[in-house]
This record gives sequence, C-alpha cells and structure tokens, in this order.
Amino acid sequence: MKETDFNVGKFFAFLFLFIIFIFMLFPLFEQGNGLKIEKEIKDLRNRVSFAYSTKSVTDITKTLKESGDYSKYREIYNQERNDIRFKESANLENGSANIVTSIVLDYRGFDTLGELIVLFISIIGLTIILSNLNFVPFNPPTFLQKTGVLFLTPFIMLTSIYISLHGHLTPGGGFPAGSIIATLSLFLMIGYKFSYKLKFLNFIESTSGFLVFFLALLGLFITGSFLGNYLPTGIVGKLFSSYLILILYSLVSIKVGAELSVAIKTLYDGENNDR
Amino acid sequence: MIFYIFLIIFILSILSAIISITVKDILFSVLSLGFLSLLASILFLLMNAPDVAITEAAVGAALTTVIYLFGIRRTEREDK
Amino acid sequence: MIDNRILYIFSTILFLIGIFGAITNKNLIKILVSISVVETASNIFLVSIGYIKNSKPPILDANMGKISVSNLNISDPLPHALVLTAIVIGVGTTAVGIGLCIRLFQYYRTLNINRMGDKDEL
Repeated sequence: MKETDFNVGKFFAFLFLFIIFIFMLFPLFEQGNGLKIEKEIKDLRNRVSFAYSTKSVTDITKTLKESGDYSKYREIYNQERNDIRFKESANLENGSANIVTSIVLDYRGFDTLGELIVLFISIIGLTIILSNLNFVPFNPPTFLQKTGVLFLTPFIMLTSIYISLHGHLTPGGGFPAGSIIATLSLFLMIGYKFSYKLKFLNFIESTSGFLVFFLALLGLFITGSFLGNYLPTGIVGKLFSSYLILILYSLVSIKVGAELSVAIKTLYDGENNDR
Repeated sequence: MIFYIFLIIFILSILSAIISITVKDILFSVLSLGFLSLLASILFLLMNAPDVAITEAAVGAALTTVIYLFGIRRTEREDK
Repeated sequence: MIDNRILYIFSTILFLIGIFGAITNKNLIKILVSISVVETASNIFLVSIGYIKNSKPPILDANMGKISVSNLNISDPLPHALVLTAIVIGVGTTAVGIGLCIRLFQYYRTLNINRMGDKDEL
C-alpha cells in the first residue's frame, strides 16, 4: 500500500469528523424545546432522581395514580415531606445511605440483572472463542514478583471485602469489589502460578447467580413486585441495615469476581491446561 | 483553583487520547489508554461521583490494561 | 466555576478522537483501543449530565447529616448508577475483542486488516 493513499484517507476522515463536531455543538445554542445543554443545573427538582434521592417513589406514584394527571408531577414533588436524617430515620423504602446503590439494586434492579446477564454472556463468548488453544506458558515468577504479591495480597483482600460489605454506606459496592477480586486472582497467578480450577470458579459463579435470581423472585411472591424489598430496612447509616441490598451486593461481587477471574485465567493460560 | 485542575486534566487526557491512537508501538498506546482511564477517574471524583471513580480506577486503569497486555503478549507488539 | 457546556465540548472532542482512531487505524488492537477511548468519553458525558455546581456527592454521611426535601443539594445519582454497570460491561466486551484478535492472529499471522484477506498468497 502506498503512503499517499493513507494520508488522503486521514485528511477526509478529519474533515468528516470536523463537520460532525460542528453539528454536535448545536445543542449548546438550542433555543426551542429540543435537547439543550444548560450552563448549569440549578436543582434536582425537575428530575426523576428527586424521587429516588428522597426515597419517596411509592408515595409519589400513588399520588400521581390517584390524581390521574401525570403532568402535575412538579406540584407533587413540591409537597412537604420528612427529612432523611443520618442514623435517625428508620423504616424507609430502602435503608441505603448511598443513593446510587439504592438505584442500582432497588429502583432499577431489573436493569442491573440484565447487565449481569450481558457480562455472563460475554465471558461465555470469550471462553468459546479461546477454547482448544494451546498457549505458550509464561516464565516462572521471579523473587521480586513473589515478594510483591505476598505483601499486597492481604491488603487487596481486605479492600475488596470492605468495599463489597459497605456498598450501601460508602462509595463502591459489588462491581468494583468484583473487579478487585479478579485483580487478586491475577496477582496469585503471576506470583505463585496459582491456578484455579475452572470447575471451581463455575460452581461459585453459578451458585451466586442463582441466589441473586432466587432472592429477586422471592420478592415477586412476598411483596408482589420483582426485586421487592421484603427484608427489614433498619436505620439509615448503620452497617446492618437494608439487609436485602447487603446480601445482594455481596452476591453480585462474588459473581462478578468469579466471571472476571475466568476471563483473566482464560487469557493467561488458555482453557486447555486444566482439563 | 478547581478550574485549573479541570483544565490540566482536559489537556492531559486529550494528549493521552491522541497518543494512544497515533503511536506505532501498541504497548505504549495501551499504557496511554490506562493513563486516560486514571484521569477520567479523577474527573469523576471532581464531578461528585465517587462510586464511578472507584469503579473506573479498579477496572479501567487495572483490569482493562492487563487484558490488553495479555492480548499483546499473545500477538505482536508493533503496528506494522 | 466549571461549566456544564465545557464538559460537553470536552467529551465531544474525546469521542471524535476515538472515532478518528477507529476509522483510520489498520491494526486491530489499536481499533479496540480507540473504541475504549469512545467508551470513556461517553461515560464522562453521561456523568457530566448529572453534575450540579457546588453540590455534594449523593451519599448520606455524618458530614451531610440529612437529606432535606425542600433544599436538596446533591448531584444527580441516576447517571452514576448507569455508568457504574456500563464500565464493568466494557471489560467483558474488551475481553471478547481481545480473544477475537488472538484467534485472528493465530490464523492469519498478522493484525493488519489490509493483509488479512490474502492468506492464500502468503
């Protein structure tokens, strides 16, 4: 291939993307009812997250259904409600102090279950693509690698357990904890040639995934809605509060960790080596 | 003060994005992508999203880079 | 201090840099890297939608004390929840892409997409 053709292609790509850039600037100067990017957002009052943040979704939907006029949601948002106080308020919709967690696992938990299935399917695809493939093994670990892994392993383990158990109180939760567990398994593979059996990882993954779906289905039978909250919520801010979210996020962290460990193991030494 | 932090992050991340798509050595390109993820995680922290920042730091700067490095180890390093 | 419009322009530029890399590069792994840049840019855009100036993170803790309904001073938590899962999905799709690259390299002995079709001539 000649060098000149390549440069012409780059020039036309640049021109094309520059035109797209100008079109993408239009929302900044939009005057009418279209999508616009404002200079700053004043308040959450006009957004759906208002109901999520104040934990009043059931209340608001009930009022809206009774009135029958869905265009009047702003007036209903402006009604007086009790404040949510740290370590005082009890028996809310869910006792999660971290609002992101309450959205991920309670209000929009169905979406999260779908994403877990997507992750599962992508790991299945990876193992199918790389099956029957013999990799050249890596070199044995050096002294520095062994010592570094020995130092870092307990801290990484502690961090992942802390993050997964405090998902409803502090930033973090099941997904980052799962990826930290996968990093830990990578460290063990590099430092000690420690290799999980794939059957073991499959067992852990399928058990935790089954439990997540079972607990979600149990809500359908007890409260009448999928992923409904049927365990006590407790006081906001305590470690043992919002029990359903605590259990589900721990299970999610185990599931994600096992899946990403399978991905890393498959890429590290192929699937063939332990069968 | 915070405006200058934002400005530095903008400049550095656009530079690392350009480096990661233009450089011929794929290893350097992947490391530059990891640096971009780290800068994005700082940006998420400044945008009041600590959850996303933790996830991006644990996933984007560590796991994604490692997966790319395994890919380079199994294929070739130079963009020929 | 920081403007939501500046964040929008920044994520747009990053997005277009990624698209430029994806349509001009010939190496498969570099195309994947460019797609990762696009993913990061779209995540930054989604989080910037929920950024409210001078607000606090959407986590109730001892410093914040209470979430008051009349004066709600937190950032929008909904984009955070969407991006949180999207990042983890990104790792899975990247791993699938790398697996395909390894397979193609074992078959064609090259990663350049222009040279992949002519295996018979090699």
